[in-house]
Amino acid sequence: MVPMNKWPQPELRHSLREVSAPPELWDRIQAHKTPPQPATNRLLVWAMATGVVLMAIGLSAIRRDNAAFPVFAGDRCQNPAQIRAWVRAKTGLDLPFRADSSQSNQLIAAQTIDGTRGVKIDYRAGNHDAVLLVSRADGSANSHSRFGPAFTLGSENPADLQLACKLCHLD
Amino acid sequence: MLWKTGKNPALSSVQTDGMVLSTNDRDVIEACQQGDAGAFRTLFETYKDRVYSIALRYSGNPAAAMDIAQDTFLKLLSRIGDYRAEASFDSWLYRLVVNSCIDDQRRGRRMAPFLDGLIDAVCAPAESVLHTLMRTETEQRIQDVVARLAPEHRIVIVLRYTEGLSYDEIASIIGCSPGTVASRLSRAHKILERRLSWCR
Repeated sequence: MVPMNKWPQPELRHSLREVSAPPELWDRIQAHKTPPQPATNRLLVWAMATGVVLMAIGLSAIRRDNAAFPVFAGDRCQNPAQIRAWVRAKTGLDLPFRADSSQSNQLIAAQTIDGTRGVKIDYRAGNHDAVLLVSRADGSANSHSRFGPAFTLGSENPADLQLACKLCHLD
Repeated sequence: MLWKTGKNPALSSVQTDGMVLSTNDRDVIEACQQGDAGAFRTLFETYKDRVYSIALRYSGNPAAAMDIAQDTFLKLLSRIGDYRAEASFDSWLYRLVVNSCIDDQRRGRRMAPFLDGLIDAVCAPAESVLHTLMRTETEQRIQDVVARLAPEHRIVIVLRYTEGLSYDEIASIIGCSPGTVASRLSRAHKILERRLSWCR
């Protein structure tokens, strides 16, 4: 018991005593009540909810399987040889990156673009970040065929294209 | 849909006006779970005063108490299927009331002291008016101060003094340890003692 020396507990009990509920309480409840869900309906709801959860788990597992196919999580990689193999597998384009391109031009990452039609190469050109877009040759002025396979190269800054050459070529 | 107005044989001896229901009467509860309207009425008649009293003592406001009691019984009706017989029905229902009290407070209801007692006193026979007024004033003051306690203190005071529940029962209802109940009661007693010192 918690002692309460100075204030008499009987006074509290009396002041807070139980009282009768007003008769209109029942009418108010009747006006607002909805029938309870019978047990059979509840079971059905639970069964349906369980089915939905199982279906979600199944779909999630399938999605995880698909997501595991790419060699590089997020379609990104920082190793020139791995990027070359990955781009070839993804797009059919064989980009002969120099083994040391990650040092010379600081190759950063690659991402497929427009499905499997091309690839976007992120790299460091001098003191700024640059992007090289590579797709199959379309006969335009930017088509490039120095080593057999023909590519179409693109960049926001034409000057970066010169630097981009060093991703694959020494000079 | 199983909500019925028919008679359940198990309830043949249960009178909705006479409150014959014994605590945790499983037949009545099971009938209510099956949607028997008579069983719900029996539960209502059995528990209405307790539910309303807790709501009134917690809120200090008859209108709020009506809303809380109504909300509690509507919750009882919609959730009776969740009740499991191994638990105490009283404790289960008390939890519904406490939650309804807290919900009502969260809705930001303004707690106003009520004047019904004062009006009753004024209407009483002349020779007892002064005495009744003084007593009513004291009661009113106590109820008013209780209604202004912090919610965690108020609910233990109400469950303790309106319902006479043990520390263990209160702890079970509000989801804390008996030690915490004792601590809150002690703190609430000190606050009441300080705020009510003028009328001792």
